[in-house]
Amino acid sequence: MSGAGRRRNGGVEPPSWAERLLARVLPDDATGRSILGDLRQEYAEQAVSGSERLAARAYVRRSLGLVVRYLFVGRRHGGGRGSGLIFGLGPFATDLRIAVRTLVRRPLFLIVSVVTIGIGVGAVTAIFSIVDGVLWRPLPYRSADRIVRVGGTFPDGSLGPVSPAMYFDWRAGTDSFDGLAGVYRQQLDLAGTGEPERFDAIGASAGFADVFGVELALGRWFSAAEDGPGASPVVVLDHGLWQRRWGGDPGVVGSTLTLNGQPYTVIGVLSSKFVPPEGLGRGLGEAVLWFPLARIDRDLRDRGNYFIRVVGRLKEGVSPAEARSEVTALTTALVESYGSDEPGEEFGVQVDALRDATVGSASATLIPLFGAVALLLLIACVNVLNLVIARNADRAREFGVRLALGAGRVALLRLLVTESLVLSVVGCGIGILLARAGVDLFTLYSTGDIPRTTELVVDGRVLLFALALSAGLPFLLGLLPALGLGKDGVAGLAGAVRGVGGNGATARTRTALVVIETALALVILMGAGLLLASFARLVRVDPGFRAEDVAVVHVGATARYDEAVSRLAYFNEMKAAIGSIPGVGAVGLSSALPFGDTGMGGSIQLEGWADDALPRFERWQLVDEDFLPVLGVEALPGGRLFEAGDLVGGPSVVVINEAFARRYWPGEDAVGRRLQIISTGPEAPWRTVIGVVRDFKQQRLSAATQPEVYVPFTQSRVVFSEVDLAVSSTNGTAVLAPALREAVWRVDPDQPIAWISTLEARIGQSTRRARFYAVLLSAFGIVALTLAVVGIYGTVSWNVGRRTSELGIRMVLGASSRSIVRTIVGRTAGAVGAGILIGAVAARAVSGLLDSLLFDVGPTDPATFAAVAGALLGAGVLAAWLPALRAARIDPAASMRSD
Amino acid sequence: MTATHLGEFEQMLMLAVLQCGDEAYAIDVRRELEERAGRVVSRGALYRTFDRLGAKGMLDWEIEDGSPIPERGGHPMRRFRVTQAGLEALRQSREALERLWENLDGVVGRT
Repeated sequence: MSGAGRRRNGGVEPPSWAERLLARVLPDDATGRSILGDLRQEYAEQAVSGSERLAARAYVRRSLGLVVRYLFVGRRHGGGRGSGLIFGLGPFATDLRIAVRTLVRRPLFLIVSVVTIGIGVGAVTAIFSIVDGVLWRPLPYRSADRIVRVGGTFPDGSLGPVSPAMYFDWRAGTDSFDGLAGVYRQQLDLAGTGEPERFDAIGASAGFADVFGVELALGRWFSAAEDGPGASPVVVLDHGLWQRRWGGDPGVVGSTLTLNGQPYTVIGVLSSKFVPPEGLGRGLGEAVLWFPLARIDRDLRDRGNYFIRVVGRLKEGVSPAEARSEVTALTTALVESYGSDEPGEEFGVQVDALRDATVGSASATLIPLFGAVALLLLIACVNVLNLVIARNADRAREFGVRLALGAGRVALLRLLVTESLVLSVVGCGIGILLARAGVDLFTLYSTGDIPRTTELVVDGRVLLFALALSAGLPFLLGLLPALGLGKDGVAGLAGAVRGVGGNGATARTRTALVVIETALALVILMGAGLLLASFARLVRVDPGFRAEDVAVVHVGATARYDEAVSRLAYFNEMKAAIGSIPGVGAVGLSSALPFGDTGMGGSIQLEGWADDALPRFERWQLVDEDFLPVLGVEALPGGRLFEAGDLVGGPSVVVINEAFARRYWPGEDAVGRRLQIISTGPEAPWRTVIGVVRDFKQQRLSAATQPEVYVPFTQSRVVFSEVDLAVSSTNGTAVLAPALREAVWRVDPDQPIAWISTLEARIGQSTRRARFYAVLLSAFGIVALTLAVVGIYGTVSWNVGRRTSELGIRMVLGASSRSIVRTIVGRTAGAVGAGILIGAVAARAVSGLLDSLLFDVGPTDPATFAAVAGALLGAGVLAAWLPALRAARIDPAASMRSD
Repeated sequence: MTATHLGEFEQMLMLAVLQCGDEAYAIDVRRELEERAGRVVSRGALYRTFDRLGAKGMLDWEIEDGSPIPERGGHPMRRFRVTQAGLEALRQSREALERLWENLDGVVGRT
């Protein structure tokens, strides 16, 4: 459940757990109830005027603030009201007061401890709320475990869309589903009212609402009749869009919007709780307009093109496997009756849970992160444990006095645990604040490949997790040091009241902790180092085309141009207008850009194959004669690129890439071969390959280039409604955007422009994910290293302080300053070295977790290991050096007097 | 310090109550403080100070049941009023401050 407001009886309610908590703490009288009422009223005002989610967060913040205030800060001012809970707890209150007083007396220890705990708890809690929200919580739909994706298998093994005809066949002929819906992503341009704007929209069949249990804030979803031919166009608005563009005006329902040049009646507004299903396909999660599938700009009788995503709700008791065999049997039967246009045996049917598809590979990125922060928390605990042990050793005299005055051992233990409890509670408080900030930052900067980030919230469940963590800490930090210190527990604390704190056992324990800390830090740093190395290699990959000084404009056709010929003429006009901008070189037209949003595939048949060979599914795109030259892509010797002369009526031609030639004509000359793109419609012409181009990267720098066919615009009967213009410029691309916009609008002032960017920026976008994880894990690595250095420094200085007189004696006996520094630094280096070795073994054991995030670097890369180990050793030696120098400057005479 | 000593925030809160006149409900008082004094006030500080001023006898309040605002979920509202003692304390604070401020315009200046 999200922490946002729930609806009850049509009204808006604040998070109930926070209200219940507050009601318990506030005085149970009219005053208390009036405060509850005030907070409710403020919540409602904020929820109505802004976002319910923000209002809910503010409510939680306010009520927790009040809870803390009324619990802990209450009575001092003699208010007479308020429950003052902690004063009813007898001896615990006394312990608490003593603990707080003792801790406040040593502010440095207090601050370092709580900040360290805060960082550890904060990082773990933040990542927990992300892991929990993304991986573990059910999708926010009614019995979401029964929602499945149904589709065909793509060449790369993934589940892909199907042809609309196939979807209708499935819907009519299967019995495994309570509902089966088809969706198609399309952009809709709003014109006529206010600023023209382009929206991500989804054409969905009427049954979509039943599959997902869609709830509406206003109006209704479209009916089956409205999702049929001849019905008048209707549209449903997303809640956020309704708020943003129409200010939440309920009058919008019933009004008419001009979308892609056609009048659509608004019939409903989705509930704010409805989250568009991200797992359905790229970009579907961002949709803000919903309209009937019958109205999409594609032919719904099409069998050759696959663009419909299918989602279904399984009948109770039907498994995905059973559904799959039913759909497969149906598809096989259909293929036989339709003949060769339909892909046959190789067209495997897949049915998978929408949840798996949504969460997808996110666990591959989140689990290593969770592991890293868990280690970070361990380091933080080890560090604080180390501090507590040192402090207890220094307090031997105090403990002795307390025991002598009649304090029982149990009482002493209780005091220690109480002190740790205070540290834990304050630390966890800091941690929760950090976690909230962390989750917000993650939502802001995560790169879109982590799904469901809009659902993330630090709510009761996450707080419970943080509380569970903090419940364990007091025992770890309070009991463990007490038990470990002497043979007989607490008495050992007060063992030797000699005026010199600590003993050899304490020193050994602390050194062991340094070893553990170093080992843990090494594992995190190794992960960070590997991701950084991957990123460095990734950005050095040559995309294979010229990206410098190429601006790109992504535009859509206005609905005026329905025919391919007039659309192309319109795009050419636009091209000429852009070409006349001073400083612009060539302008190329394409249906898809490298590193763009779009890309398409279709069935391709090759000449010379056996008659009954099935068509292959491969990528293809439309380009004009200038597009490949703008990218600096040339034909390999023996072939050529398109020329202005390759027009309709002339011989039909294509250019292919090396990957295509390698797959289908390995070792042969591809030029002169013929192929047929069935997807361009019935009676698709046979096209002759006139040239082969060098492979260049298509979507990601890290992926191998896929086979691709380039078809000239002039020879296509299909011209898509969206095109990309690639513009080479001689005076940089930075200043070009306004001129480009102006040129496009000179041709048609109503033309929406989806975006203007540069090829370099698009490539940069594609490496954001790698950069994000490298930066995130490096941040954890830096924190881990800092904690380790603080721990080492603390241990060495404490040791030096403890051994002042011993070191003095050594110097009197002739030890040089140098040898003392060498001994101290050498011992520390030994401990750090041992930690590095242990850490290396541990890092190797878990290295497989990072596999999917690495590019061109093995999980046990020796160079990375050497760098990380060197950095840790260097930092450790440095941390030991400063206290060692101080030791070397001891005045032997003074040190012996002090004993 | 006398028993009538008022802290800065206490004074501001009472002045805000007075500014709200007959409509001095907690939410309005807080809004008044934020708008007039530019203070962002935590709910904890606000309600605790109401309690404290009540205990000192500077402030009292009337409980209004059956609020006409449905969003309150049926909870009562408190309407605050500065008592005579409160007014007296405010007056004393002001006089004390004014005496201290005398002839300092040239030194401190005005905005």
